[in-house]
Amino acid sequence: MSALEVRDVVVDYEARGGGRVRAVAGACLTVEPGQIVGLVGESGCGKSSLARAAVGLVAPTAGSVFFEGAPVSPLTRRARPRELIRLQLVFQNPYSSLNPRRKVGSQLGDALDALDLVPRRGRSARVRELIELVGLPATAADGYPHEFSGGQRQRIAIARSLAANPSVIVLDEPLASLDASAQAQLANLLVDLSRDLDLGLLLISHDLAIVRHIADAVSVMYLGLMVETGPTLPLWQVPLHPYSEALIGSVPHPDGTGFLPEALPGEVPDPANPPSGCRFHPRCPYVFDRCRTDDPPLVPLQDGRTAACWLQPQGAPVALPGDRVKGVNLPR
Amino acid sequence: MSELALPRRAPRFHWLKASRRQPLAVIGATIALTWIVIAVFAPLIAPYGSLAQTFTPAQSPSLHHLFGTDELGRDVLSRVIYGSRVSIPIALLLVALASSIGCVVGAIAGYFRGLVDGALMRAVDLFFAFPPIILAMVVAAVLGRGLQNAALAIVVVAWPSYARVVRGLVLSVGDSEFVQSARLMGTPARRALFRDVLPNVAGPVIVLATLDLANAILLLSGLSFLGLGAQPPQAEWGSMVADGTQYFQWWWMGTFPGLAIFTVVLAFNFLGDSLRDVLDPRTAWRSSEEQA
Amino acid sequence: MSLLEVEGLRVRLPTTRGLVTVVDGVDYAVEHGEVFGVAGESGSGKTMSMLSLLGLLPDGAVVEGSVRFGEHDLLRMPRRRLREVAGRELAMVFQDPLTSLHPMLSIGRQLTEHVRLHLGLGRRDAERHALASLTDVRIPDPASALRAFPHQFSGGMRQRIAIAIALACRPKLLIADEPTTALDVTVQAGILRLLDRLRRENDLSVVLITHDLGVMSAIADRVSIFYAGKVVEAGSCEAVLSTPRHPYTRALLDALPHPEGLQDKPLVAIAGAPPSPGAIPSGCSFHPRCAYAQESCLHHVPPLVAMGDRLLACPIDPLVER
Repeated sequence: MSALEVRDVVVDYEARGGGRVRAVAGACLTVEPGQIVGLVGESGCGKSSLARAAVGLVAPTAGSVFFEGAPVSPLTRRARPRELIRLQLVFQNPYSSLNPRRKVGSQLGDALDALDLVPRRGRSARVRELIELVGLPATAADGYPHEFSGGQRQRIAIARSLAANPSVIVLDEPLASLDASAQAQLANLLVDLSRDLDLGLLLISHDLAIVRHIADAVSVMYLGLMVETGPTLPLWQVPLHPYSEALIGSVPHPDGTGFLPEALPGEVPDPANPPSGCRFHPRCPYVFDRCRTDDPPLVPLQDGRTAACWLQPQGAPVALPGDRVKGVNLPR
Repeated sequence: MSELALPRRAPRFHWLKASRRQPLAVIGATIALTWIVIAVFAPLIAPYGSLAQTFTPAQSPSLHHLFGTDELGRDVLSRVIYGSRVSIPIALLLVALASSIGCVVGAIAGYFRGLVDGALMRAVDLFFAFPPIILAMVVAAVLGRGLQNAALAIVVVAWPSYARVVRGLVLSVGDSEFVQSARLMGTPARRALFRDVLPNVAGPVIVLATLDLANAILLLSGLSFLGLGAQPPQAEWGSMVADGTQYFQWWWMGTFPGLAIFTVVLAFNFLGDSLRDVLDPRTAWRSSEEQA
Repeated sequence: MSLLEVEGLRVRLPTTRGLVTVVDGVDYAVEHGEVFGVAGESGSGKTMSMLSLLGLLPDGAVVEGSVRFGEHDLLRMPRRRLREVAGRELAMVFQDPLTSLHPMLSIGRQLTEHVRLHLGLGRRDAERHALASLTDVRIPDPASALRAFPHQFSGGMRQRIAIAIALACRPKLLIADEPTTALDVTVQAGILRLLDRLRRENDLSVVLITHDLGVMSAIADRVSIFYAGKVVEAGSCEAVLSTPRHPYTRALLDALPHPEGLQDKPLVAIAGAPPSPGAIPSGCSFHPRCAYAQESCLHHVPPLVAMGDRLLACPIDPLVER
């Protein structure tokens, strides 16, 4: 049983001026215990909406999310059901995700109060333990959030989610607002926590290099849909979807070789008005007729990989989309 | 291998430094404090009684009567001093009452949204449809003359603006990530309201209340001026100004109570403005703290 | 002769705790047609050193040293004259184009106003010039873009427009402060290619300020690595990033995941956090976080000296030790 399973989730938002915008258009995703899954894509592709729907902060318009086999119900006025508290979310911005007027220790105690797993007397000791677990001195419990740097705050936010004794944490761009050194510290911390606590992590990030470095599996999202999923390294070496290929090719290399990354032409289309057929076709270098009319489904390929591209028929062996254009007779 | 830099302690408050950075706050606080001391110790400070009609009427200011005497031979200085015992405590009480009512209504509307919100806010809109002084006059007139009724009328006029402000703040703070985080931790909505939302709303409400103190004093004086508030012979600034307007040739009768109103209102306005600067997260003071 | 020569630049900013040194004796030169990279973490003084050239520091800031730009001495120039020179020959692009573009004015207005002011063109000519500028930065449908407003464009397009405005007067030097940090990688690559093309075609010099060494590596010819207001290592981009010799440069690179590196190798984080200006450690300011620190590092400020193919402010040189 997967720790977290997102099944055909659709998330709509009310747009300004009446209409509805489909931020997530039927996305699927699974996170196993102890696994780090990276979710990558350009801004506006629906990553954050999916994260919010996955933990129940927004109600999906269609589809469902399962946490440890049970459906995730959207948050209501009542307290969140106990069994769901073990599914947590860490926000991007540690300046707005911590209450500026409460001491760190008190905020870490929220989940302990709600779950009642630790006797009242042991709670402050547990809070200190959690703070030390994320590499901060235990005295941090007595401070207010503004007394800490961005990296330290993000550690505190992670410690707070660990207080819920979670089995899955969804992290929405947790490293984006941090300096390089703080980023590396936090990335290593996430890997350690995942291994030591058998934690499933869904790491949403636009920093592909970090995702490649710490994620076990990757899902690539484009305009509300998954276009490719698979184990990280194989996906990096041979991306099957043209979009994944473009994303990976646009990452600069910090090595002084003067490698100039490839730019992806065009813009992310307006999600309120997605292109017909394959949503990527206006920007795709390999586009052919069928792409303009038919939307390719996400199909399983060999080696545990999936892709949603007409160039990659179900069960096909692994090959770059460019090689397929040359080698395979296209079903025109 | 982590950033073990010790948490920075919040800097201590220094009066001198504060006065350099926020001169208006210090001036406002000083004047307001002075008036509060005057109100508390009025019988010790005032040279004469507030109702004693023992002097020659309508004397111009002199060493014996610094602010002169009125048409009935009462010492204006003493009456101004005693007048502070009416305006300031009533204003404080009114603002406390109005802000409490407004906060409760606003918090309920902003946090629970939906129908409750719609109903409460339409009611609030109704109060905003009338100019405050007219509304206060109507309420005071319906309830009958007298200080108590005038005070009640001011509460009726004042609470809706708190309700509106608090609702807006609760709406935005309620959506903030730290409240969502607390909810994800299993905190029930109501507890999150008290622990996470309201403390973050308090700052702007305190600012509004400080500014509103000035309004309450003005409004109370206005009602008294119109004869709806304090009744003679009680010493109240507004009614003293009203009396003064009937005797223009004796300028001191209206001018000094008017100045009293002016200084108190100015003081609370300074205080409120500076508080807003300090409490508003967008001002430089806070952001420089964050960068450092 | 270099286009820009900075010598002994020292910038002190007023704070509540008195003047604080944010740039502490920095030298560098930018040649014609090159991309000069300035790298460092936040608070390293890289942005302040550039703002000081343009006279854009907050009131009360104290700037010492000398900055020669062409035949102008920027630091000893009357404010008004500096604005004239800076408007015409120097241009700046910021991280967030939303804050540098006026939200209520059309793109055409912002482009032509600038050109008419500094180049003295008539309205017709200015419009033609504006159209050419937008075409140059590859804005699709430039004619209708002229009539549009900033909020109608995506982040990447806005940054292109900001670059078009900055380059409208054909400046000799473009200072780009984190120009791609707020953008997606796919869009970032486009901006980097644009900058690379512009400098080749227009003989433009670019000072690229960024914390992202990947971006630096993509288009910079030479780099200076800033730490706590000082340059710790400088040289050709290739040399500095492929064989870093200062412990800080080395640590920065070790903390970065390489998109083609080995996955199991954990990232080596730098211990501690960068010092805040006003609390700079004694001696070498990196010593508290340095893996190679010795007794002498606590007391002696290492000078930036020539070491083979580069300038280095570290007597230990970890590369030799290994």
